[in-house]
Amino acid sequence: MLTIGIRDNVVRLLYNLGWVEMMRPMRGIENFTYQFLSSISFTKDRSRSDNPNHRVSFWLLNINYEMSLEHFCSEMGFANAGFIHDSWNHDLKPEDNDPAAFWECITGLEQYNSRSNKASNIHNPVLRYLQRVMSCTI
Amino acid sequence: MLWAMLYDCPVNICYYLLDYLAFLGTRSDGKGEIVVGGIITFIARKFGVGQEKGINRIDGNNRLDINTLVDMTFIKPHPPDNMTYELKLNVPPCLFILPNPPRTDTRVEENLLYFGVNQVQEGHGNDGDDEEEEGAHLHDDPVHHEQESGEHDNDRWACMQT
Repeated sequence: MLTIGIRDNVVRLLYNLGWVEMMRPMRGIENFTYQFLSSISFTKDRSRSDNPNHRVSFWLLNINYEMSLEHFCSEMGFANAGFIHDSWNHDLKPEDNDPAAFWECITGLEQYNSRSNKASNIHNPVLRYLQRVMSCTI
Repeated sequence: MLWAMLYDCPVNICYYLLDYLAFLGTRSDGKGEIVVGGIITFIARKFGVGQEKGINRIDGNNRLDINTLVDMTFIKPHPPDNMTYELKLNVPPCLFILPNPPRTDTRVEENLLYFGVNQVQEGHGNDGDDEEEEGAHLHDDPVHHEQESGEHDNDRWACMQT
């Protein structure tokens, strides 16, 4: 990133989402990873759109953690707020969010094809890098 | 998500993170390598589980190295020696100005070309299969490149256009 001069812009955009700390390279720990992935359960509450009670549970070092999404956000230091793309609460969706227009803006392509190589259609190297980072993270 | 970053729009990060990790936890297709150990370490630390309590570190790449980028078709080796690399772009025209223009604007020829003098001279006529791509060659010796850049601009530009 330093060589091609995109580091500052990458960090700035990650900062906008509060991701700077989370995206720092960290070592994976074998027992954390195996236990977490084999036990995680994320239950989405589809019954209520105004105040859904999403639940998460997982094990870490033989301790069972079970909590609401709100509690998990609090523990992680993130606000339990903001846009969720598949939320039934459409009030969360920004009014000026037009995915098709945005895709055309960053790629020059009129249509989004999920089967094509998405990253190499994005012109801006900062956005291409971030697309890859996010596709490997969330 | 890119849109939200650019327009400084808040998104519920934990929702997406948990959705993805839960998907990986139940994934059964066996395709590819899962690299989420670092994120789980981050979560464990937030819950007060220290790294010193971990038993074994997972060996492997936690960064995007050259081989990873080649596998992702981000870049591809440049013949004949495959020791230089081309940044792959599917869409030739530059439709908007890149950030940090002095270093990344593709209308500035110097920003597209990062390969050495020897590779330039050897590289003529070897780009026949690249009609749809503009190549940015990642040079392994930027200092040398800067010293030699002035007198070989035309050669390198011609090489890239072929």
